[in-house]
Amino acid sequence: MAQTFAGIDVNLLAALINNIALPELLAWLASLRAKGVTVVSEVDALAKLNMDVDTGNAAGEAALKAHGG
Amino acid sequence: MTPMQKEKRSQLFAITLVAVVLSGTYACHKSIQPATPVAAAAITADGIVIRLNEFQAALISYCGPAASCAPGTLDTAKFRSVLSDLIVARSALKQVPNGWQATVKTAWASVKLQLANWNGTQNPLLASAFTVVDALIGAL
Repeated sequence: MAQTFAGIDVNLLAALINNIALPELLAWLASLRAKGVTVVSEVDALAKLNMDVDTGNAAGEAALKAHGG
Repeated sequence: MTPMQKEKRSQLFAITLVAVVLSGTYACHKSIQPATPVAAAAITADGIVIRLNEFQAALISYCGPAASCAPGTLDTAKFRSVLSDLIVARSALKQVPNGWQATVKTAWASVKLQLANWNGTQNPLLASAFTVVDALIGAL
């Protein structure tokens, strides 16, 4: 698995920092936002998955208990 | 400040900026670009979990709050069995990122078996939630 910083591949970050001047970097990020692109990190995606599983399982277990399970 | 320190400082600023802006886009927009294959797999799994949760919520509402499901709805033992299957499916989606498909399919087949003689059209919300999950898992 690639090393990440804040869920972003460190190689991508290094490439950005080394090869893109700050104004260009800002323009690129602005263009991503303008296109409505959401870049989802591993950390965020896994956290959302875990949260939804835990929420669903808690509700299911509570209903099981309430119905004699 | 030396030129080296200035460079380090600008790099740190750039890293922070990227992290902040990208995390901001995650919260504000609908078009999704996974950062890595692991993120893509988690997003796919989460899509199924969300639908399973919707189906479960509709099922719980349909059964009602009493210890036994409301008359004319579902057999309470089958209701409990379906809930257990949903828990198994969700747990696999969380714990087996590279191999949850077989478990999810088996659990959903068990759900369908429990509901084999159930008239889902009695409750449009439950029926539509069932159809969505069935299509999603059928396409795996």
